[in-house]
Amino acid sequence: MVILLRFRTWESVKQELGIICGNLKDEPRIITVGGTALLYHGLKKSTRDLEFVFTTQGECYWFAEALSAQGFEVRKSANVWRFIDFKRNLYIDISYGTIGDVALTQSMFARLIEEQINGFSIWIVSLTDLFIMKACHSVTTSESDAIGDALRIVERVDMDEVEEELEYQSEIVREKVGRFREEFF
Amino acid sequence: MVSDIDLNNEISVTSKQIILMLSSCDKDYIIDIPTILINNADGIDFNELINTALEAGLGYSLLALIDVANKLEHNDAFFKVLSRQYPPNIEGNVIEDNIFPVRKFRQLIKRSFLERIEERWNVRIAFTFDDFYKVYRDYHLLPVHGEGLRKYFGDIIEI
Repeated sequence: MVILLRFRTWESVKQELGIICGNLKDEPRIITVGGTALLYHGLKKSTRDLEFVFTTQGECYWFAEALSAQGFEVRKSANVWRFIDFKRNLYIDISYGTIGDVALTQSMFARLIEEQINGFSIWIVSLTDLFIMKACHSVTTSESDAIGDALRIVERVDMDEVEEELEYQSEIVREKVGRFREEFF
Repeated sequence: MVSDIDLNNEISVTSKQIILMLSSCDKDYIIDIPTILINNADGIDFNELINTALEAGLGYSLLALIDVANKLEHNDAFFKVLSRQYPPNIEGNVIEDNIFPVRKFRQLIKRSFLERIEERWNVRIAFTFDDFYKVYRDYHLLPVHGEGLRKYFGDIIEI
């Protein structure tokens, strides 16, 4: 019997990213979100997919080109491009501009955490911003996965900082985070 | 238990490890179990697996997960195991994540697509069918039938 492939440490994510960065011809700002960021923050034991978001479509394209050069095949969803290495059952989801309803804001950038991999900067979103993303996703999809993640994060975030960030986000994001708090707190 | 994973070498898992995964109360392990069963159905000694699970007091939790696997993808090997007669006085069991226990799950999610399975094996499950389906699709359906899916759905996939 064979156990399923998962990334169980940040080091294994860095190792994979190191290989991809080797195929990059430009230097996109690579921002880590979702389960990958939760793994970095020690709030998830493993993650199935790697998830990255880029500020612009161009940067997203550079990264997509690097993945294609490595043999990944692409499948498109509404706002996410999933790159699949069928040999290893490895998935990498990339998008640009927004994560679901949540916009990439300047204040969010100010909270990004930097990690160096082979001379490339990899940025990890803060727990404050991860909470907003997961809370919105929970309300949109009712996935128990996302609800569990948001509840896991909430104990470690400063709600004043969440409130401050919500000022820069759209009405729909404020409403969804509000609904999450009403329902789950 | 399974530690870090080598991306080039998937780790073999034994019956004992499946029982450890089930008893871990760790969502990341538990929701993988039906897919592991699907992917390895031909090579699994179900007698050994069920006996190990029954000894650990997790027999009916495992049977419930085999039932979930069979719901995801019907397999004669699962059907055979599930069709056997088991004692009628089944003790209750719970399959839950330590972050998201059954009580909280029932209160917040308010839906379950696994009622029949829960009733049959007297097991309460703190996951939705979607939780299991996502892993099944990612690990099994897409890699194996990637081209087939594309024929029907083009490049549009659910994420």
